[in-house]
Amino acid sequence: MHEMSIATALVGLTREHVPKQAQVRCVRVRVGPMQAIEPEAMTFAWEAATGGTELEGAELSLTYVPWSLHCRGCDRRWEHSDWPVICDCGSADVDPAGSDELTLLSIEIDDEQDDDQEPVNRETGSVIRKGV
Amino acid sequence: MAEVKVVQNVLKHNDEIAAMNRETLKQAGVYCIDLIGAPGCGKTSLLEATLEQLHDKMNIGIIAGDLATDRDAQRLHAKGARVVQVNTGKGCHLDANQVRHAIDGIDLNGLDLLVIENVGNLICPVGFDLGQAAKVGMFSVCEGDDKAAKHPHLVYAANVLLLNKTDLMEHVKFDPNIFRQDVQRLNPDVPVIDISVARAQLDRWLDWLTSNTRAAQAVSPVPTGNS
Repeated sequence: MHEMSIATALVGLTREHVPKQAQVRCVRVRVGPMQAIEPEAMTFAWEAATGGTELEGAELSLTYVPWSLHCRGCDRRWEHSDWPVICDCGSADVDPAGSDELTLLSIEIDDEQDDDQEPVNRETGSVIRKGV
Repeated sequence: MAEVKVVQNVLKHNDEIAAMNRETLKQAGVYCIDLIGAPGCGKTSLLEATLEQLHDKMNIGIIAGDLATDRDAQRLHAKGARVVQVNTGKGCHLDANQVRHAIDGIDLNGLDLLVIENVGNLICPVGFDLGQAAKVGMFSVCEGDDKAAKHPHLVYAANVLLLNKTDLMEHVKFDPNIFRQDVQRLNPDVPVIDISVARAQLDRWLDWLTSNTRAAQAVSPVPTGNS
Protein backbone atom coordinates (compact mmCIF):
# COMPACT_ATOMS: atom_id res chain seq x y z
CA MET A 1 0.00 0.00 0.00
CA HIS A 2 2.71 2.48 -0.98
CA GLU A 3 -0.20 4.21 -2.73
CA MET A 4 -0.92 5.99 0.57
CA SER A 5 2.53 7.61 0.62
CA ILE A 6 2.07 8.63 -2.99
CA ALA A 7 -1.37 10.09 -2.26
CA THR A 8 0.06 12.11 0.62
CA ALA A 9 2.88 13.39 -1.61
CA LEU A 10 0.31 14.32 -4.28
CA VAL A 11 -1.76 16.31 -1.79
CA GLY A 12 1.37 18.25 -0.79
CA LEU A 13 2.38 18.95 -4.39
CA THR A 14 -1.15 19.97 -5.37
CA ARG A 15 -1.24 22.52 -2.53
CA GLU A 16 2.04 23.99 -3.76
CA HIS A 17 0.59 24.67 -7.19
CA VAL A 18 -2.91 26.05 -6.64
CA PRO A 19 -4.11 29.17 -4.85
CA LYS A 20 -5.53 28.40 -1.42
CA GLN A 21 -9.11 29.31 -2.25
CA ALA A 22 -9.16 27.34 -5.52
CA GLN A 23 -11.63 24.53 -5.92
CA VAL A 24 -9.67 21.59 -7.32
CA ARG A 25 -11.70 19.48 -9.73
CA CYS A 26 -9.14 16.98 -10.99
CA VAL A 27 -5.50 16.05 -10.51
CA ARG A 28 -3.87 14.35 -13.49
CA VAL A 29 -0.99 11.95 -13.00
CA ARG A 30 0.99 9.85 -15.45
CA VAL A 31 2.12 6.47 -14.08
CA GLY A 32 4.87 4.18 -15.33
CA PRO A 33 4.42 0.43 -14.80
CA MET A 34 7.57 0.13 -12.68
CA GLN A 35 5.75 2.07 -9.94
CA ALA A 36 3.50 -0.95 -9.35
CA ILE A 37 0.55 1.28 -8.57
CA GLU A 38 -2.79 -0.48 -8.30
CA PRO A 39 -5.47 1.90 -9.64
CA GLU A 40 -8.16 0.93 -7.12
CA ALA A 41 -5.74 1.18 -4.20
CA MET A 42 -4.50 4.52 -5.52
CA THR A 43 -8.01 5.94 -5.81
CA PHE A 44 -8.86 4.65 -2.34
CA ALA A 45 -5.70 6.22 -0.92
CA TRP A 46 -6.41 9.51 -2.70
CA GLU A 47 -9.93 9.65 -1.22
CA ALA A 48 -8.52 8.87 2.23
CA ALA A 49 -5.79 11.50 1.93
CA THR A 50 -8.12 14.25 0.66
CA GLY A 51 -11.19 13.44 2.78
CA GLY A 52 -12.06 16.26 5.18
CA THR A 53 -9.66 18.65 3.45
CA GLU A 54 -10.21 21.39 0.88
CA LEU A 55 -9.33 18.78 -1.77
CA GLU A 56 -12.21 16.47 -0.84
CA GLY A 57 -14.13 15.43 -3.94
CA ALA A 58 -11.30 16.20 -6.35
CA GLU A 59 -10.91 13.49 -8.94
CA LEU A 60 -7.62 11.65 -9.40
CA SER A 61 -7.06 10.89 -13.07
CA LEU A 62 -4.38 8.25 -13.71
CA THR A 63 -2.89 7.71 -17.15
CA TYR A 64 -0.89 4.52 -17.36
CA VAL A 65 1.93 4.49 -19.87
CA PRO A 66 3.39 1.24 -21.29
CA TRP A 67 6.75 -0.26 -20.44
CA SER A 68 9.59 1.59 -22.10
CA LEU A 69 12.03 -1.11 -23.19
CA HIS A 70 15.57 -1.25 -24.52
CA CYS A 71 17.11 -4.44 -25.83
CA ARG A 72 20.75 -4.55 -24.87
CA GLY A 73 21.25 -7.30 -27.44
CA CYS A 74 20.23 -5.44 -30.62
CA ASP A 75 19.80 -1.88 -29.25
CA ARG A 76 16.11 -1.73 -30.22
CA ARG A 77 13.86 0.64 -28.22
CA TRP A 78 10.12 0.16 -28.08
CA GLU A 79 7.04 0.37 -25.88
CA HIS A 80 5.22 -2.72 -24.73
CA SER A 81 2.34 -3.73 -22.50
CA ASP A 82 4.43 -6.21 -20.55
CA TRP A 83 7.84 -6.86 -19.03
CA PRO A 84 9.87 -9.07 -18.82
CA VAL A 85 9.75 -10.02 -22.49
CA ILE A 86 12.02 -11.58 -25.07
CA CYS A 87 13.08 -9.19 -27.85
CA ASP A 88 12.37 -10.12 -31.48
CA CYS A 89 16.12 -10.67 -31.87
CA GLY A 90 15.90 -13.46 -29.32
CA SER A 91 17.68 -11.65 -26.50
CA ALA A 92 16.19 -11.74 -23.00
CA ASP A 93 18.39 -8.85 -21.92
CA VAL A 94 15.62 -6.26 -22.14
CA ASP A 95 16.04 -3.26 -19.86
CA PRO A 96 12.91 -1.36 -18.66
CA ALA A 97 14.84 1.74 -17.50
CA GLY A 98 12.61 4.79 -17.65
CA SER A 99 9.43 2.84 -16.87
CA ASP A 100 9.34 4.26 -13.36
CA GLU A 101 7.74 7.57 -14.23
CA LEU A 102 5.34 9.12 -11.70
CA THR A 103 4.48 12.62 -12.87
CA LEU A 104 1.94 15.16 -11.70
CA LEU A 105 0.89 16.57 -15.08
CA SER A 106 -1.72 19.17 -14.29
CA ILE A 107 -4.42 20.29 -11.89
CA GLU A 108 -7.87 21.31 -13.04
CA ILE A 109 -9.53 24.01 -10.94
CA ASP A 110 -12.71 26.07 -10.89
CA ASP A 111 -11.97 29.75 -11.27
CA GLU A 112 -15.47 31.15 -11.49
CA GLN A 113 -15.05 33.59 -8.64
CA ASP A 114 -12.28 35.51 -10.38
CA ASP A 115 -12.61 35.85 -14.13
CA ASP A 116 -10.82 39.16 -14.56
CA GLN A 117 -7.27 38.18 -13.86
CA GLU A 118 -5.03 35.50 -15.25
CA PRO A 119 -4.38 33.55 -12.04
CA VAL A 120 -0.75 32.96 -11.22
CA ASN A 121 0.52 30.75 -8.44
CA ARG A 122 2.64 33.16 -6.39
CA GLU A 123 4.98 30.51 -5.04
CA THR A 124 5.83 28.74 -8.26
CA GLY A 125 5.01 31.32 -10.88
CA SER A 126 2.88 28.79 -12.76
CA VAL A 127 0.46 30.51 -15.09
CA ILE A 128 -3.00 29.05 -14.88
CA ARG A 129 -4.36 28.73 -18.40
CA LYS A 130 -8.00 29.65 -18.87
CA GLY A 131 -10.65 28.17 -21.04
CA VAL A 132 -9.13 24.72 -21.26
CA MET B 1 -12.40 25.80 -15.67
CA ALA B 2 -8.67 26.35 -15.63
CA GLU B 3 -5.75 24.02 -15.81
CA VAL B 4 -2.53 24.43 -13.87
CA LYS B 5 0.31 22.83 -15.82
CA VAL B 6 2.76 21.18 -13.46
CA VAL B 7 4.78 18.25 -14.92
CA GLN B 8 6.67 17.34 -11.77
CA ASN B 9 7.82 14.09 -10.20
CA VAL B 10 5.25 13.21 -7.54
CA LEU B 11 8.01 11.94 -5.23
CA LYS B 12 10.10 15.07 -5.78
CA HIS B 13 10.33 15.93 -2.07
CA ASN B 14 11.25 12.37 -1.11
CA ASP B 15 13.94 12.32 -3.77
CA GLU B 16 15.31 15.71 -2.67
CA ILE B 17 15.64 14.50 0.93
CA ALA B 18 17.15 11.22 -0.28
CA ALA B 19 19.78 13.24 -2.16
CA MET B 20 20.53 15.14 1.06
CA ASN B 21 20.89 11.86 2.96
CA ARG B 22 23.23 10.54 0.27
CA GLU B 23 25.38 13.65 0.48
CA THR B 24 25.46 13.61 4.31
CA LEU B 25 26.59 9.98 4.32
CA LYS B 26 29.14 10.53 1.56
CA GLN B 27 30.64 13.49 3.40
CA ALA B 28 30.89 11.35 6.54
CA GLY B 29 32.53 8.47 4.65
CA VAL B 30 29.65 6.11 5.42
CA TYR B 31 28.55 3.39 2.97
CA CYS B 32 24.80 2.84 3.12
CA ILE B 33 22.64 -0.10 2.05
CA ASP B 34 18.87 -0.48 1.99
CA LEU B 35 18.00 -4.07 2.99
CA ILE B 36 14.65 -5.17 1.54
CA GLY B 37 13.02 -8.55 2.13
CA ALA B 38 9.81 -10.24 3.22
CA PRO B 39 8.91 -10.63 6.91
CA GLY B 40 10.72 -13.68 8.24
CA CYS B 41 13.34 -13.99 5.51
CA GLY B 42 16.01 -13.38 8.13
CA LYS B 43 16.97 -9.72 7.79
CA THR B 44 17.54 -9.06 11.49
CA SER B 45 19.24 -12.41 12.04
CA LEU B 46 21.54 -11.67 9.11
CA LEU B 47 22.42 -8.31 10.63
CA GLU B 48 23.12 -9.89 14.03
CA ALA B 49 25.46 -12.40 12.39
CA THR B 50 27.06 -9.67 10.27
CA LEU B 51 27.71 -7.56 13.35
CA GLU B 52 29.31 -10.53 15.10
CA GLN B 53 31.61 -11.15 12.15
CA LEU B 54 32.56 -7.57 11.36
CA HIS B 55 32.49 -5.77 14.72
CA ASP B 56 36.29 -5.67 14.99
CA LYS B 57 36.70 -4.55 11.38
CA MET B 58 34.19 -1.73 11.03
CA ASN B 59 31.70 0.44 12.90
CA ILE B 60 28.14 -0.27 11.85
CA GLY B 61 24.97 1.71 12.31
CA ILE B 62 21.49 0.36 11.71
CA ILE B 63 18.15 2.03 11.09
CA ALA B 64 15.55 -0.62 11.87
CA GLY B 65 12.17 -0.07 10.26
CA ASP B 66 9.13 -1.88 11.62
CA LEU B 67 5.47 -1.15 12.02
CA ALA B 68 5.74 -1.64 15.76
CA THR B 69 8.06 -2.59 18.66
CA ASP B 70 11.74 -1.90 19.26
CA ARG B 71 12.66 -5.58 19.40
CA ASP B 72 14.97 -5.40 16.39
CA ALA B 73 16.75 -2.39 17.85
CA GLN B 74 17.30 -4.26 21.12
CA ARG B 75 18.66 -7.33 19.32
CA LEU B 76 21.02 -5.28 17.16
CA HIS B 77 22.13 -2.94 19.94
CA ALA B 78 23.13 -6.03 21.93
CA LYS B 79 25.51 -6.92 19.08
CA GLY B 80 27.26 -3.58 19.23
CA ALA B 81 25.55 -1.55 16.52
CA ARG B 82 24.52 2.10 16.75
CA VAL B 83 20.79 1.60 16.25
CA VAL B 84 17.77 3.79 15.68
CA GLN B 85 14.38 2.12 15.50
CA VAL B 86 11.78 3.71 13.27
CA ASN B 87 8.20 2.61 13.89
CA THR B 88 6.10 3.37 10.86
CA GLY B 89 2.72 2.63 12.45
CA LYS B 90 0.74 1.56 9.41
CA GLY B 91 3.42 2.52 6.87
CA CYS B 92 4.60 -0.40 4.76
CA HIS B 93 7.97 1.13 3.85
CA LEU B 94 10.45 3.74 4.99
CA ASP B 95 10.73 7.08 3.23
CA ALA B 96 13.66 9.46 2.90
CA ASN B 97 12.36 11.84 5.55
CA GLN B 98 12.09 9.11 8.20
CA VAL B 99 15.64 8.06 7.34
CA ARG B 100 16.76 11.71 7.55
CA HIS B 101 15.48 11.96 11.13
CA ALA B 102 16.98 8.57 11.99
CA ILE B 103 20.38 9.63 10.63
CA ASP B 104 20.19 12.68 12.91
CA GLY B 105 19.96 10.22 15.82
CA ILE B 106 23.08 8.25 14.87
CA ASP B 107 26.64 9.36 15.58
CA LEU B 108 28.24 9.23 12.12
CA ASN B 109 31.71 9.97 13.48
CA GLY B 110 33.92 6.98 12.64
CA LEU B 111 30.98 5.05 11.23
CA ASP B 112 31.82 2.87 8.22
CA LEU B 113 28.53 1.29 7.26
CA LEU B 114 24.88 2.21 7.72
CA VAL B 115 22.30 -0.50 7.10
CA ILE B 116 18.69 0.55 6.64
CA GLU B 117 16.62 -2.51 7.50
CA ASN B 118 13.43 -1.66 5.66
CA VAL B 119 9.95 -2.76 6.74
CA GLY B 120 9.39 -6.42 5.80
CA ASN B 121 7.82 -6.07 2.35
CA LEU B 122 8.96 -6.96 -1.17
CA ILE B 123 6.94 -4.33 -3.01
CA CYS B 124 6.36 -0.98 -1.34
CA PRO B 125 9.94 -0.14 -0.28
CA VAL B 126 11.32 -0.58 -3.80
CA GLY B 127 10.21 2.73 -5.32
CA PHE B 128 11.35 5.02 -2.52
CA ASP B 129 14.88 6.35 -2.69
CA LEU B 130 16.28 6.71 0.82
CA GLY B 131 19.76 7.95 -0.06
CA GLN B 132 21.35 4.50 0.02
CA ALA B 133 24.37 3.59 -2.10
CA ALA B 134 23.03 0.11 -2.82
CA LYS B 135 19.79 -1.83 -2.54
CA VAL B 136 20.10 -5.35 -1.17
CA GLY B 137 17.19 -7.67 -1.97
CA MET B 138 16.78 -10.65 0.32
CA PHE B 139 14.82 -13.86 -0.27
CA SER B 140 14.77 -17.19 1.55
CA VAL B 141 14.19 -20.64 0.11
CA CYS B 142 11.10 -21.11 2.34
CA GLU B 143 9.30 -18.45 0.32
CA GLY B 144 9.42 -20.57 -2.85
CA ASP B 145 11.49 -20.52 -6.03
CA ASP B 146 8.96 -18.26 -7.80
CA LYS B 147 9.53 -15.26 -5.56
CA ALA B 148 11.97 -13.51 -7.89
CA ALA B 149 9.55 -13.80 -10.83
CA LYS B 150 6.70 -12.53 -8.66
CA HIS B 151 8.65 -9.49 -7.50
CA PRO B 152 10.34 -8.21 -10.66
CA HIS B 153 10.61 -4.63 -9.40
CA LEU B 154 12.82 -5.56 -6.46
CA VAL B 155 14.96 -7.91 -8.53
CA TYR B 156 15.46 -5.20 -11.13
CA ALA B 157 16.25 -2.49 -8.58
CA ALA B 158 18.65 -4.56 -6.46
CA ASN B 159 22.42 -4.21 -6.63
CA VAL B 160 22.84 -7.61 -4.99
CA LEU B 161 20.43 -10.40 -4.05
CA LEU B 162 20.75 -12.70 -1.05
CA LEU B 163 19.16 -16.14 -0.90
CA ASN B 164 18.93 -17.19 2.74
CA LYS B 165 18.10 -20.46 4.56
CA THR B 166 19.85 -22.54 1.91
CA ASP B 167 20.36 -25.14 4.66
CA LEU B 168 16.60 -25.84 4.36
CA MET B 169 16.69 -26.28 0.58
CA GLU B 170 16.18 -30.07 0.70
CA HIS B 171 13.17 -29.74 3.00
CA VAL B 172 11.17 -27.24 0.98
CA LYS B 173 10.11 -27.11 -2.65
CA PHE B 174 12.77 -24.82 -4.06
CA ASP B 175 14.52 -25.28 -7.40
CA PRO B 176 17.58 -23.00 -7.37
CA ASN B 177 17.80 -23.16 -11.18
CA ILE B 178 14.31 -21.72 -11.59
CA PHE B 179 15.09 -18.95 -9.11
CA ARG B 180 18.35 -18.05 -10.86
CA GLN B 181 16.84 -18.18 -14.34
CA ASP B 182 14.14 -15.74 -13.27
CA VAL B 183 16.71 -13.43 -11.71
CA GLN B 184 18.86 -13.60 -14.83
CA ARG B 185 15.88 -12.67 -17.00
CA LEU B 186 14.96 -9.66 -14.84
CA ASN B 187 18.40 -8.35 -14.00
CA PRO B 188 21.30 -10.03 -15.81
CA ASP B 189 23.87 -7.98 -13.91
CA VAL B 190 22.84 -8.63 -10.31
CA PRO B 191 24.95 -11.06 -8.29
CA VAL B 192 23.04 -13.69 -6.28
CA ILE B 193 24.71 -14.78 -3.05
CA ASP B 194 23.57 -17.96 -1.31
CA ILE B 195 23.75 -17.67 2.46
CA SER B 196 22.70 -19.59 5.53
CA VAL B 197 22.52 -17.45 8.62
CA ALA B 198 21.70 -20.55 10.71
CA ARG B 199 24.88 -22.31 9.56
CA ALA B 200 26.95 -19.11 9.61
CA GLN B 201 27.63 -19.46 5.87
CA LEU B 202 28.10 -15.79 5.09
CA ASP B 203 31.58 -15.43 3.63
CA ARG B 204 30.58 -14.19 0.16
CA TRP B 205 28.11 -11.71 1.68
CA LEU B 206 30.70 -10.41 4.14
CA ASP B 207 33.22 -10.07 1.30
CA TRP B 208 30.68 -8.16 -0.83
CA LEU B 209 29.79 -5.86 2.05
CA THR B 210 33.37 -5.22 3.15
CA SER B 211 34.73 -4.60 -0.34
CA ASN B 212 31.88 -2.27 -1.29
CA THR B 213 32.23 -0.32 1.95
CA ARG B 214 35.99 0.06 1.46
CA ALA B 215 35.58 0.99 -2.19
CA ALA B 216 33.08 3.71 -1.30
CA GLN B 217 35.32 5.04 1.44
CA ALA B 218 38.31 5.10 -0.90
CA VAL B 219 36.58 7.78 -2.96
CA SER B 220 35.00 9.53 0.04
CA PRO B 221 35.97 13.20 0.50
CA VAL B 222 37.08 12.64 4.10
CA PRO B 223 39.49 10.13 5.63
CA THR B 224 37.64 7.46 7.60
CA GLY B 225 39.30 8.00 10.97
CA ASN B 226 40.67 5.21 13.10
CA SER B 227 38.06 2.52 12.67
